Amino acid sequence: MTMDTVAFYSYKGGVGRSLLVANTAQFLALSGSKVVVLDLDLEAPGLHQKLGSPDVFHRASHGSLPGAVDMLLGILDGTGKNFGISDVAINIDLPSASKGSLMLIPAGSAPSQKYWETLEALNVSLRAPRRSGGLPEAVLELQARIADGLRPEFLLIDSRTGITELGGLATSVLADRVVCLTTTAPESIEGTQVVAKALRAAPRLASQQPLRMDFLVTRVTSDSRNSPEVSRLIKELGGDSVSVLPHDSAITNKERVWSGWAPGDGLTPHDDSDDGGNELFAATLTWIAGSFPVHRNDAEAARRRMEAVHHAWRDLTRTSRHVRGFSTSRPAWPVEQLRERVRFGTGSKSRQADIVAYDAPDNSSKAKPLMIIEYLDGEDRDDVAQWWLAETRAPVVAILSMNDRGGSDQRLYSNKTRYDPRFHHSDRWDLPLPHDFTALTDPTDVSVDALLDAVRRGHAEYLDRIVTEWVRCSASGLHGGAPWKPKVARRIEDTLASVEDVELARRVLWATSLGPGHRGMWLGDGDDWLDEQVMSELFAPLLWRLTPEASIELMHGHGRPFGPPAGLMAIAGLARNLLGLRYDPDATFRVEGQRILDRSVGDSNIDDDHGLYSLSGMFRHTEISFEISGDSPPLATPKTDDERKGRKNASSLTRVVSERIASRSMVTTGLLGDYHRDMGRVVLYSKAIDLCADRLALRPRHVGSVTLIHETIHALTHLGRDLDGRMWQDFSLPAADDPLFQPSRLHEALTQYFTHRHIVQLQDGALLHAFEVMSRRQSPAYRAWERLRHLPIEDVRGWFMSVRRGVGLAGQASQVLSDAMNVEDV
Amino acid sequence: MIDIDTPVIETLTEDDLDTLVSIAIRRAEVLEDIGSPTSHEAWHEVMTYEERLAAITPAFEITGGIARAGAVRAALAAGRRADAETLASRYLSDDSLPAERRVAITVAFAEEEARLAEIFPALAKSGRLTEVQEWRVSVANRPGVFPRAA
Repeated sequence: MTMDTVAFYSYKGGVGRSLLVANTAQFLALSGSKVVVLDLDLEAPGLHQKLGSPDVFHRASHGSLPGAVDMLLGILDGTGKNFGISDVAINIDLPSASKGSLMLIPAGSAPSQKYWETLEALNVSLRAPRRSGGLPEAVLELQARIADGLRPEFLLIDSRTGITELGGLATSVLADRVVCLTTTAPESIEGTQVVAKALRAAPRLASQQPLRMDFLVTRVTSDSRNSPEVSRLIKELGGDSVSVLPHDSAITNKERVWSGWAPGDGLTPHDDSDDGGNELFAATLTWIAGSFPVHRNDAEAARRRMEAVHHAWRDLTRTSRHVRGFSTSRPAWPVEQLRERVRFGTGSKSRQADIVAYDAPDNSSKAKPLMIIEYLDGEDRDDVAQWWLAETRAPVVAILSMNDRGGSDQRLYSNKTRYDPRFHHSDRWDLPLPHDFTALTDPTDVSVDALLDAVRRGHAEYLDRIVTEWVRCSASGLHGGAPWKPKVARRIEDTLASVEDVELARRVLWATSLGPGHRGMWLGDGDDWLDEQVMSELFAPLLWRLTPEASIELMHGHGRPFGPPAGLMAIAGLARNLLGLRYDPDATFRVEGQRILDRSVGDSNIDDDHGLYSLSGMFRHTEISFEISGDSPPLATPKTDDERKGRKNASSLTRVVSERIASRSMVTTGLLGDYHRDMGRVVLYSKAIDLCADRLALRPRHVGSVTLIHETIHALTHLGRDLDGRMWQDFSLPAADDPLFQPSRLHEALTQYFTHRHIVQLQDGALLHAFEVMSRRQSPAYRAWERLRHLPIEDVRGWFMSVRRGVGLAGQASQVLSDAMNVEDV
Repeated sequence: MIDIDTPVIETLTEDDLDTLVSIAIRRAEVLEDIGSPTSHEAWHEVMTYEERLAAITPAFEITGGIARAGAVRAALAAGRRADAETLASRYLSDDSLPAERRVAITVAFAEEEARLAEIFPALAKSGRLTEVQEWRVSVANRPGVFPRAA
């Protein structure tokens, strides 16, 4: 077998030459070739640092690492006759599965004092007149001994930089092929061109083929890759091939050889940022594929493998994600819990995982593997996955591969899996993160039911994923969209609405809202149509269905630099869809405020830039605010001295609630909640709500939600604008703290009707039950709506508009509403 | 190769040169035996005298034939392979050079090859030793910055 000698040369240092030599050598060896690497950069040797083991470093520093310098000196002074090539060749360990071999002939014991003394002796020997044979014969003898003694397929030479005698010999006489590396720096280019010209003209041994020259332009930054300068350089260099290796800040001069990037092994750069080394690795493998045709397939497969494993590593460790224009944090794997290239099993039955994720830092003796990740190229994924599951007992196995379209593909397997029977693997498409192993029964099972189960158990981290599932099941329209699964979407909404914990309920609302501080990982990125659908069909219903303690926080209009808050939009939706009114306090402020300014400024045509803001205080009450109060409600607060003397507050509230329920004179406004027209404030009285719920065997959250809807409708009938843009502020409730307070039958009948309709639309059985139970125990004013129950909402809305405007009703409408108002017991 | 037209050399007679070359050969052999780095210069001196002798004596005469073979052998010993090959080429083209002198010149090269093969056994085994010597000749006086190995 002939030996192919490839010399790597650069006119200037710092171009990444030694690292490229080491990596190329290792790749060829891992791919099955016998490779010898020879360090002829005698004045600045370092290849042993790239490839050697700690033992090699130790020997080098103690002067006991013989190498090329010792060999050459021995040849020339005749003392090296008993100096075999095996005495200077170091075997470099490769993974046991590798079929090839890699040997290094270092320069010597650099940087020990002994090395420099030997190098000086060599130089003295070469300077002296010699009868026969000099450096050319010596290096050719060294090359011949390598060929004869080690019989490699490839001899890779790390050549000296600049214009030197040894560099000239390595490139023009020893080499079958020269790989010239240069950066785009002018001095590097100029020197390379001079050397290239000399090499093309250099005499060769009679039996040698013409020298082949390949050029590599290295450290090319991404912004200059396609620049005219680089294009011109490529054209000028000519040669048999010109390739470009990108600059990568993740790769430093400290970098040792990249390990494990051939088939049967894996490669993962230790970098969490962007593509950390990936681009350079990929370009290097592409270059190897073109330069060493015998290993073209291996290099291309390795590149695919490297990219797949690299992306997996990045997926596992990326601590932030960019979703819908915002960067959010994610609970990624700590790097110390990940380990690359771990072999399991013994002998021929062993396999090497590309990445193993542990339940503790991997240096801990108690660390157990949670997930095995292996890239496969050609083997049966199902079989390999089953081997891993049986061998390691890791809960999850991820098999990476390339799909037919050249993209990466990954399949997840688990020992508890809810397998797709067609493929024997999970349908989860992303790699599990640490919390998946504690929150999910099966980390590969991210079905809607599994996610909802996790949320029910308090794992709010799955809310984003659930919302995405809801979108997938709901985002269908006339013009396309995701699969249409309305029953699943309904199940998601109902489960989220059943959340009891206030903090979790708050997280649910945040996950489904489009507030300034939150962007869910919904399908698409910045899709207004989807945003609107999620807001109106998921968030808004949940806002009314979840416990009011959570909902009210999102209903406030404060702190909204990027537009109206989600809660305000939900309230506006209620006003528009149920009452046919427009609720937009900002528009009210602008319209009414401008009217005031117009009156005060007179006939000026110049806008007053700041005048409007000075009026904002006057319009606070036009924006509904919400409050949960622990105080006693107005109807349970003693209003006279006699009442105060006769009872204490706490017992009075209990008695009032109990008496009203018993006498079917329960009211919502004034007892469970209230709407203060002067402040535009909706108040819920928590103690009264709790008592009412207790007496009626209802859940306080449902009584609270009914009250919240009821009082919000009161507020909207007061502050909403009709299509003409008019407000009818006179249509307002009597004040509940008035000693002569009586519920307004007209207001309550209409409000109860709309409350009922809204709850029906929400399709919340528990809420509807609460409303019905409460209604039966309420005063006639609150029961009057029963007469309207089956009337079309358009009719009632029309009547409501007329009454609100004070124009009255005529004909049948007047009769129906009048009958309802006058009935004592419905 | 030295310039044999150098006036001093030209003034020497055959007897002078015989005397000088005997002394020079002896001196070079001693220096070589003791490993002196100056032995190459001594052999160069021998080459100079032998080459002059060859110039002033016919090839078919004993003195002339010995001088010619001696000049080639001395050039090889001086490490001046290119000079040796030039001289050998010139002398062997003279039909009047006796056969035994021709053999002597050829043997000189063969012995040199043997010496090299002992120093560079693997190179010799690969069959490239001769190629290297030829390569040396081709780059001996070659201008250019790179390579300048030879």
